[in-house]
This record gives sequence, structure tokens and C-alpha cells, in this order.
Amino acid sequence: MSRTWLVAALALGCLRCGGGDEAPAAPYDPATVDADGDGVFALSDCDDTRRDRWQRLAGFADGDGDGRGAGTVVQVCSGLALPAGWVTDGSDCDDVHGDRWFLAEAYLDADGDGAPEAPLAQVCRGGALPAGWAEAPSDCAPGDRLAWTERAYLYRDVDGDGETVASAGVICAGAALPAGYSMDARGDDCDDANPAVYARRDAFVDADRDGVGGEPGVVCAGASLPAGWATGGGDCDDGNARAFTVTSASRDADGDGRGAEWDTVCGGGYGGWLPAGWSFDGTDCDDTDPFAWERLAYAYVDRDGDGHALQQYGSVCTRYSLPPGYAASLPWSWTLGECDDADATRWLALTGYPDVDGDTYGASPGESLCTAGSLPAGYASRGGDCDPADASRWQSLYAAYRDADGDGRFVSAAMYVCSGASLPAGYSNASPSQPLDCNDANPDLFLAVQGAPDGDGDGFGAGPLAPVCTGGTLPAGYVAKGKDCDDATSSLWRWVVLYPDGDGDGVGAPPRAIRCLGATIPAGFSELGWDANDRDPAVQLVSGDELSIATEL
Amino acid sequence: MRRLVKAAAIVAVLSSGRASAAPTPVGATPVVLVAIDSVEVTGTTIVVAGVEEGAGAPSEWSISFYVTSSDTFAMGQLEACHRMALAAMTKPGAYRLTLWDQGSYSYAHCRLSRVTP
Repeated sequence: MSRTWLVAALALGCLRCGGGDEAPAAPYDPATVDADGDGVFALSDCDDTRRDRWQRLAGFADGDGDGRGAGTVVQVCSGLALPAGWVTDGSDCDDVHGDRWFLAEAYLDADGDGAPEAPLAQVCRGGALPAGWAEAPSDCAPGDRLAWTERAYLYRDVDGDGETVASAGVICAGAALPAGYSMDARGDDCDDANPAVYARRDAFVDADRDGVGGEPGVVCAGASLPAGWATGGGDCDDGNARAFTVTSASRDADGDGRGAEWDTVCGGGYGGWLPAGWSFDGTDCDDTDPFAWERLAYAYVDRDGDGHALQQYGSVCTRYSLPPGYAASLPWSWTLGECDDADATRWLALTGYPDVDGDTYGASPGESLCTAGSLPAGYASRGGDCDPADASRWQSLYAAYRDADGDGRFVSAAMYVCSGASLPAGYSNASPSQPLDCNDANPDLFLAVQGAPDGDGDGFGAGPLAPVCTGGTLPAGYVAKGKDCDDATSSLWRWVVLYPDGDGDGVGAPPRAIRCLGATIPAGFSELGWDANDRDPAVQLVSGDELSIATEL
Repeated sequence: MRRLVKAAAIVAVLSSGRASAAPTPVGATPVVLVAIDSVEVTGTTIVVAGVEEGAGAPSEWSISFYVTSSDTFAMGQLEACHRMALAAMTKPGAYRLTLWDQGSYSYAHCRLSRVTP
């Protein structure tokens, strides 16, 4: 068939070549016209303008000139064969690149890092794989254009804090180890999971996170200590964030917010937190009473509430104001003066003197009595009763003289006598008209007379004269003369100084003698003793008078 | 026996020429001396040893004069008393020397008197 059409086309071509110039142009008849002279009439010639094309052949466009076309089959106006650019093989998988024409499986460097990566993928290739493909995968990090090859490392810095830890391994990387991996050590990160910490530091455990540590320890830290640690220790209670230092405070036993005794407690420092039962206010005056904490001064008290007050300065532990019965200034309803502030029935202090005999004078000393306004019965307002049991006597009066025995003779008394309105009988202040009583206990003896006992009845008593208390005269056995030199011999009664009188002229001479004598001077003696020559009765004085001699001295 | 005792007493009196006890200050009761054994002036005090009237033994007495530098009267009294004692001692038995002192606010007194006027 194709051959037939070819002959017809050629014939038509020849006809046109034989006589076209000379003969008038015949009407165009494609069936006979072969304009291009390829031997195929235009009617059959698929391109009657080109001699090299006349028939239609099925072909594929071969855009890249690799002899294989792509796309859908196309009837291409051809000559004996398909024109250039068309091929009968339509299996070209890439009609753009001449070096690629069939599909195969290879590994693509999808991430563009120069290292092909799994998985296998279809690739349009030629004799060689196109760029970016490889027969075997080498990319250790598919999809990551920055990592493609495995690199060894010795240290890691996972947390990126610049401090490494020893940790050898291999990592898929790019041209160099990625950040966080190194072959060299930088420090010794104690916690590579936390960029905030990297170095071990001595610190204190701060369990309660109050900034003050308790037990010492070592902690992995950064520029600052991690939570739960503190640079300083000394936390007295690391389980309580509000208590961290020993704090001076006062114990508040009664819970009124004020303490009494100062002590130390684990708290938040002065002015800070304190545990229950403690206070910075140490002014509680009564730490056992929650309703009393301040001491208020008072000047008056009426504890028994009788309206009679006592001026008494003091203070009482109370709150806000003085309690009943206490006042700083005297209230109008109180009267000053109180002797028993515990008994409302007594308020006036009076001095009472026990008056047993009812003479209105009591016995001293007086008693301070707290009364209801007046002295009770049995007491007098005045004291000094010298005889509390005798109503007739109450005052002591001075008595200069006394006559106790009632003989009418007084003795000096100079005494006070318990009396009534005046001195009782037997006492007087008047000077006695008679001598004083020498024995105020015996009415028969009242007059002192000088005398001495006369043992021998010679009228001279023994010893010197002495007062003898009498009834007016010396009693028997006493005489008014004394110094009896021998009271046992009635003939001897006096001591006499005698001088031997050798010449019998009546004047003796020493040596003297003292003799106990009676009335008579014994012979040969004289009471005179100045005889200058006791052997010559004519001579007594040598010359002159002794008084003249004495006067001239 | 009584005689023997009396004799012993007399011997004792005679043998004691002068009392050895401290002199007795003269008081308000006059001391009458019938015999003077010695007179001593010590400062403003005159000590006289002798026999007091009625006494069985000698004794010593002192009498003081309150003499001051401005009181010439008291000094004169002291000198007079001294002379009286000397006179009595010079003529035993002829005079009696009486001494007494009434105490404060009063002068001491000395009196010389004849036994037989």
C-alpha cells in the first residue's frame, strides 16, 4: 500500500516537472500534484513542500536527542524515516537531558548536602547517574543538608552551657562536629542536662528555699546556685522557709502577742517571722494572763470597793486601763483614807488605847485600829493610863517626896506616881517641914541621929559616928560619941597622942605614942611634945615662937 | 588575952612612922590632925601625914587647891595652908590642923588652932 502511494506521488511529480512552464496552469489537483517532487502527490503527501517528507510515521519527540523520545506517540510527517527529533522509541524517561533515558533505582542527595541518602528512589539516568545520585547511600542524616557524615567526638555539651562532659561517640555531622560535640574538653560540666549549671561548688542545702542553707554540701551550679542551695549556711530550721536565723525574742506563753522573758529562737531575724509563742515585744508584765500585758501606774487603790481609797503608788499588770479598784488620780467617788483595803467595813485608822477600867485613859502603847469610823468599845482615844486596871488612877504625876509608912515624915522621892486628878496620899511636892524620914518603911523610925554603938557603956561608941535611924532619940546601946578605942573596956575610950615627958615639966618630946586611954594621962607622958630639952624642966623652946618661924617661910 | 591584943596594936601603931597607903583626899567632912609627921607640896596639892584626932594610927591626907596662872588667890591659900602645917609640925600637941574641901565651886580650907587657947 505504502509503495503504491509512493509511485503515484512520483508520477504526479514528473508530470508537473514535464511541462509546467509551457502549458497553462491546470487547476490544482492534489491527487496529481506533487509539489515537492518527492514522488507523492499532495493528496497523500503529508508535506508537499518538502521532498524529504511525505508519509506519516508514528514517533516520539526526542527533545534531548538521545535517540529516545518521550511523551505520546505522534504521527510525524516523515520521509523514509522519522525526521530528526523524532524517534520510534518512546521510552525516554527524561527528554530534556540527553544523558538520561531510563529509569533506575539509586540514592538521591535529597537534602543537598552532597551525600546521597536512603531510601532508594527511581532516577532517570543514562550511563551514569545524574548529579546528586549515587549507587549507595552515604548520608547519615537524610533530609539534613548540614549533616551527612559520621564524626567521632570525645566530649559533649548537651546543654550548651560551654562546659563539656567526657562522652565519646559518633555523630552524623557536616563539615565539622555540631555544636555540643567536641574532641576537646572545656571544663567538666557537672550537669550537662542543665545549661544553667556546670560547676561543682561548696554550698549549703537550702531545703526550705529561704536563702539560708543548713547542712553543707556540694552542688552543681552555674553563675548562681540552683534552687535549694544557698551560699551561706546556718539555717537553724531548714524545714521552714520563714525561720533561718537564731533570733532574739521573748517567750509569749499566754499568747497575747507579748512576751516576758527574752531568749533565742529560730526565726526570721529581728522583725521577721517568729514561731507561735514568741514575740518581739518583750513587755508583757504577766505572761500567764493573755488579757494582761501592760503595766499601768496607779496612785490610789480601793480594792475593797468601800469608796475609801489608799494613796499607794505602784503599778498593775493589765490591759488598756487600770482594773477596778485602781486609779491614777483620785476619783470623785472615792475618799482618801483607808486602813484596811481588804475589808469594806473598815477604813478609818485610829489609835486606840485599851481601857479596861473605863477611866477613858487607855494603856499605852496605843494600838493602831482600823475602824468603821470610831473606836470600838474597850478602847480610849487617849493613852498613858498608868494603872489600866484602876479607874481612879490614870496619869503619872511627879512627886518630890514620899511617905510610904505614913509616919508623916517624907523621903525624897523625885518620882512619878500613878495618880488620879492629883497625887494620892503619901506623896507630896511640898518641901517637908520636918527632917526627911530615915526609914520610910517603918513608921516608928523617922529621924536620923548621929551615933555609934557603945559596947562597953562608957559613953563612947565604937568607930566613927554614923547616922542611926531612930524614933527621935538614939536607941539604947547607941551614944552620940564615937571612936571608942576600946569598946570592950569602959575605962578606955579615946586614942591619945602622947609624948614622953622626961623632965616632968608637962611638955614631952618625941617619939610620940598613941595610946588608948580613959580620962587620965599616965604619968611621964604629956599630950604636948615640943620640949626642946626634955631633961631640963626649965627649957621647952630653944628660941622664938614656932608661928613666927612658920610665918617667915 | 585582951591585954595582949591591945599591946600588939599599940606596938604596930608606934612602929609605923608614916602610913604607906595613898593619901586620902580631904572631903567636906573636916579632918582634924593632932600630930603632923610630914608636909609635902606636890604641884597644887599638899599632902599631910599625921594623926587624926581620935585615930589610933597615923594616916596621910591630901588637899588640893585649884590654882591657875591668873589665880594668885588660890596660890596664896596653898602657901598659907603649907605654913599652917609646918607650924603644927614644929610644935607637936600645941595645935590642931583642920582640913576640909567642900568640893566644886569652893576653895579648900585649912585652919590652924591652938589646943589650949
